[in-house]
Amino acid sequence: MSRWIRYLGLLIPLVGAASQLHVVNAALLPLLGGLLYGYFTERRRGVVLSPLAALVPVAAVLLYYVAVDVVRLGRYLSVFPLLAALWVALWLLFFVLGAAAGYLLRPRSLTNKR
Amino acid sequence: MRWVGLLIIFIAVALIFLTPPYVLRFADPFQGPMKAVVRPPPPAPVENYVLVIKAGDEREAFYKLGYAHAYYRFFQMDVMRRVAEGRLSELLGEAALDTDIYFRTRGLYKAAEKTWIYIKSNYPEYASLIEEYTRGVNDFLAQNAAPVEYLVLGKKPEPWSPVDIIAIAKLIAWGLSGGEADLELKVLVDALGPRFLEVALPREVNTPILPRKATFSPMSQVLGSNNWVISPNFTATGKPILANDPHLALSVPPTWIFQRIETPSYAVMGVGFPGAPLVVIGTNGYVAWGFTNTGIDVIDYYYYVWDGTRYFYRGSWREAERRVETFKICDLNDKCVEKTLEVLDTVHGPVVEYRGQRYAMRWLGNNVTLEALALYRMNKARNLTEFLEGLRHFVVPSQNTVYADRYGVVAYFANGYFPIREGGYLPFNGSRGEGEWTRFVWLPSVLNYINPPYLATANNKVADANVYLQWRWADRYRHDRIMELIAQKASRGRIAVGDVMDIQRDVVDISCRDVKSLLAEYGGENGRKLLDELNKWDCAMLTDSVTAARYATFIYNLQRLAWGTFNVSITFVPFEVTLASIKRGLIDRSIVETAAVEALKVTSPWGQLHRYSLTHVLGSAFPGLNYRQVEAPGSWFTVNVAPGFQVSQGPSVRLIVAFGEGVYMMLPGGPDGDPLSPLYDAMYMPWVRGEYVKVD
Repeated sequence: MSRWIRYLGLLIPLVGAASQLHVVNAALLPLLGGLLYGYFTERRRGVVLSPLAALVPVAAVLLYYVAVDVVRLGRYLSVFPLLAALWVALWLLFFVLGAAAGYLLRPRSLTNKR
Repeated sequence: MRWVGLLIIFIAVALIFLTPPYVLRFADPFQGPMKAVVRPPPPAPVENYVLVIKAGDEREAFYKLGYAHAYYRFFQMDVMRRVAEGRLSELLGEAALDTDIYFRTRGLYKAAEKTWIYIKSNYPEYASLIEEYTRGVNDFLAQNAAPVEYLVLGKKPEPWSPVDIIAIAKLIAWGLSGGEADLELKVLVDALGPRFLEVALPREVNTPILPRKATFSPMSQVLGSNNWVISPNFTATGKPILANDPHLALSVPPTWIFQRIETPSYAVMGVGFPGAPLVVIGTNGYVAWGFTNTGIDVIDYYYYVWDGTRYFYRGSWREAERRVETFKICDLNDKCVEKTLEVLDTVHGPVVEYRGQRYAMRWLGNNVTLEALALYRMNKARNLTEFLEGLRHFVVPSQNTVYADRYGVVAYFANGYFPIREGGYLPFNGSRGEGEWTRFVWLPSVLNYINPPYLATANNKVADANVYLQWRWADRYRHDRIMELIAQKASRGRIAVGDVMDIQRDVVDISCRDVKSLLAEYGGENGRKLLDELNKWDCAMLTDSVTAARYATFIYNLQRLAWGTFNVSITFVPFEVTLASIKRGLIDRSIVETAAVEALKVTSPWGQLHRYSLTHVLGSAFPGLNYRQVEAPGSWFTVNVAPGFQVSQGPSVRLIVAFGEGVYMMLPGGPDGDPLSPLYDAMYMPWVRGEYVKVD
């Protein structure tokens, strides 16, 4: 079951859609999502792949905005490329830090399967 | 290893709380700037780049216009009202503080408050329309997420107020009739002596718009523009044509929004300022009108003998009124600090400092003035009489007003009011009671021309007059070129809209005629080399011309060498005055050859040196908000004006109203100020190329 639970971690950053706080949306949720992902990851390879995993919620957000208005999203990315890059970078950073910490904090019984 | 995991969490949390909050805001995809990707549908459509408001009655039209202006341009509206009010640093931080001090000291917003109180008590019906517009703006703010600029800045838009509408009008008026020209002139007169006034004041070679001398009975920035009217006798349709391209700062989004307002009782279209419920330049199908700035001097400065905060005035000491202005300066994290400044007021007006000296400033626009009401009535006028009824309320800034109507009448008025006083070009000794304004003249009663065959204005001299009106008239070249082209086209047959478009796009700089004789006389050996090249050139300031680049470099260097040493702006003194000063020997004549040497060093075509540079208020931090830089034809003195090298001033709209044929226009940018909108820069390149869109 744990193998599948970790994928819930990928959804955690998306909870920010219901939050008004920038600190929560930009950093704490991806950190928490990463923690969950790492905690239930059974192999080290899963942690190594966490930057890729972090792109899943990024893609989900982009898909949402594509569905809303693809033209405006395109213009946002061209007018504010640094802001968009900052968002992706912070989500990646905190998700990966969370994943590494979660992996190291997981119960020993899980580590046996390494 | 668990302690390492805990350490990583600790580091991550520390990192989060050490990161400046604004960085987290930038990176928040839900509540940060990215949220702006979601936008409600427009409350009023933009058709063919025109904002269209259709309403069942006038009140509804004003409400819808307010809502639509806020939808398309609220950030721009907010910046303008904050500049006028001196509260921009609350939005943009420390960088805007000097601007805030400048405008708060000068009291524009206070004048707007007085004006609003006056309108409410004297024109309650019109006041209620202004309130409807305001309600529209505020309903937009209450019902929608903040525009993207606020999401970037981390600020919340504040509600709109009727005073803000008037404050924007005051700000525009200040840009066209305020400033410190009297004080800058004093710098030159102190340096060069009164002989400079003999050269500068008469402006003898400048072409007056009105052919006759204007007589005023004694007892009774370097922005330029073009407009002209052609009477039915000269047009292909047999109906008048009116053209206008007011030259203002080219900003992102554009200064104007083009709008059409339709109510059962009237319909009017043209350009207006976002934030003000008016068509400023346009047509209602019955009449059409256009403006250029006259620059007529309605501002004076007064110096006194001071003793602390007391000043000596007409034989006695008076205590200056004191007001303490508090400025709030907020950063990107919305942390604010306050600074206070004591401002003094004398009988003449607020006290400002210029180069360490105190002056009281008296500006006509600081009175209760009713330009908004004037334009409202002009918007509804159906003939010249009704138009003049509206124009009567227009006080400042004085404008060269061209008029045409469907009945074939064309007319010209220099509008506004003029304070009669002795002089007005230099600061007055306020302690002695010099320079008191004795009365006001309604300028159209003196400066008018009904049914000229054709007539053009380009900020040149309005008329030779028996009183001082102003001295910094724009050089005559644009005006003379327009008149020359109209005459040429008229001699070949009747003038059509396409001919008028050609005139607005014209980039021939006829100042080259004066420069050639200057080079021949004072240019020396290098001047003659440049002259040989100019003699083979058609004076067209085209982007691929190296000679055009050399010519512009010569003009620039001549102005710089002539006036740069006096610490005034090199565009402060008109070029005609520079030429006259050189001829009279007021300025060292060797600068002509020095400027020619600099010009001959240029090897690049004009377009490489001369580019449009239209920037957004936040464009230095986010360059994606600016329009892209492209090669610019034209120069300081061409009809299609493009001053400087990084061109940020020019035709803020090109408008042609041809009765019986149609209305054509183009704006330097898009109708929508939202940078995520595909309409954000939709008209920019067509404008650069000199194209038009038919809007009626």
